Amino acid sequence: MTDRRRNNGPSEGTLPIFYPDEPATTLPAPRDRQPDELRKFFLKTSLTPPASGSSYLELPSPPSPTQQSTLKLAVTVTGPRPLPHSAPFAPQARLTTELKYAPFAAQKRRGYIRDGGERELATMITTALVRSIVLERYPKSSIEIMVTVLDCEDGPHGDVGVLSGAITAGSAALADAGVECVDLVCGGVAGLDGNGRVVLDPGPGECTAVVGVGYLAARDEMTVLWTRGGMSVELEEDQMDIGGETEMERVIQAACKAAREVRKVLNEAVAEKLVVELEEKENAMRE
Amino acid sequence: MPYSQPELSFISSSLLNTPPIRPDLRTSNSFRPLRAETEILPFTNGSARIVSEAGECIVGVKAEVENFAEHMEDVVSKTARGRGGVEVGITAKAGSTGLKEEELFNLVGGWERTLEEGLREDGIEDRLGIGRGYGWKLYIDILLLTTPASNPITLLSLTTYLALRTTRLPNPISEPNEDPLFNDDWDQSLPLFPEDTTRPPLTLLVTLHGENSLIDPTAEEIAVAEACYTVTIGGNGKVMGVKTVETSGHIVGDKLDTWLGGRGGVDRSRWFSGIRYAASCAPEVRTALENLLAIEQAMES
Repeated sequence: MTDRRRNNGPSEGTLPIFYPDEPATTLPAPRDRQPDELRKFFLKTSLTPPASGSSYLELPSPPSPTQQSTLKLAVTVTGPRPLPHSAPFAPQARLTTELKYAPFAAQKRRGYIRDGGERELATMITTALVRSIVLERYPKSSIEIMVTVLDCEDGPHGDVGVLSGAITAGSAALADAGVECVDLVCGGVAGLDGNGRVVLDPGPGECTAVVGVGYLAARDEMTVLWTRGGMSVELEEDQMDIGGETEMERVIQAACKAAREVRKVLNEAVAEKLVVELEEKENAMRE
Repeated sequence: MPYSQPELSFISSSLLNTPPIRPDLRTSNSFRPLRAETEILPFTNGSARIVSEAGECIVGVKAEVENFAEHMEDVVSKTARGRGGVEVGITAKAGSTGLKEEELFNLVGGWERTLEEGLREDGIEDRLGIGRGYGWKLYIDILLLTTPASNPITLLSLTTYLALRTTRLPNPISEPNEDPLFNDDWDQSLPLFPEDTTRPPLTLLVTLHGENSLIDPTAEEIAVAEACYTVTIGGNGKVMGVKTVETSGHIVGDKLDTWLGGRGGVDRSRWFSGIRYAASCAPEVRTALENLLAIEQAMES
């Protein structure tokens, strides 16, 4: 029943309308790194004991609350394990990837049901990693990758950052699980800032266009490519002397360069477990 | 149905020739034959339908007046003229097609978001403003009527392009500082994309086979592709987005058999040549679609 006896205000509050003279622009936080300097990140494998392989990737906490550069990812790999009896015969392993944002991962709360963006990222992670796995080695088996995003940045470049991080962490987890691969895949991100300058590993609000790649550093090949934002693909006169590359190609090259840097950390993280195992073996031999 | 190893090997080796020999003998930049018509839905602001070997698709564009000033975040970024909004939705006809939502998603992925971003970057939202915080909200509804024979992104993009180009909005007769009021006469309506503005974005699917790049690939071509990705080209000729698409050849059902597992990636120069190839084909495709619109208009008058 609506109350008709009193003169009530509107049930939902309204806001006064303002028309600023010119559109207010939020200035992005200035970059405190060199254009080709990446943010430091933490990567460690074998942190989830029941899984056959796992890894954890984290960008260190932002130095100030205004700089919201953050990313925390946990990846687990289950398998290779036999396919269920109901599944048809498969001569090679089947790779499935699931990606879920924690409800509290970004500023806006996420539901428990996976949305389009999450499935889109999962498909791209599958494409990036499947090319590196020697699937013929594991007939009639399935390999499952589960990516949990605990913390991430908002906006388009945040999604690309999650993709790149998930590829790196996913490859580390696959190596941790002992799955045979032709090479480790690392993710790299580069962007184009407002002044047309190419920057590696852009922070929040820094770039107008972003590129994320999945990159096999040892083979110099790309398995996945995702670009967002307009970039020119025409050779301009002043770019002729930079090796005849278009704007987009320069950014993609930069993303591969970022991935090569990431590869150094990935190598360390994967080797860490092997070194520990070797030491344990040596100690056992001595005893 | 998955393809057998001999099938895949045969298709792959014939596509690696120079020039490539495609199963249907097309050249690398030719499309499958298609039939198109525009302005088929009387209750929409613009519509189009394309039937081709790839499938059948209908797109309807509807515009609604919305008060964008109600949302606080919009007020901050608003000028007196206001702006509009764009929303894209893709559905497959349930029942007869048997294409489940999940399967449609596996094919189309987040393409609707790429389209929205492309339209926004071309500044469509500013043109949709009416005044006093009011703006047009543009709903682009894409309906796939048949189970597509291959990844339908190219088909959807061409149909959307035609629908957007035929979209007309009622002519406002109110001043920018008044509440909106429109001219009832449909003949006085204004086109959403007048001649002097940039054209809507186009998305082309490209597959890489050795040194060859193919446009509008069929399902078996996608199955053997070393890389398969969409290239979205904006009206200003810039590339708005490149996105890798899964290369399994299955349309319906299990999608996890990958022929190319463990074969590594594709080197950068070939990715670049694919993007350049798609970008160089886009003006030609655009001209063909514009010619088609001109013929339709000539037939009407």
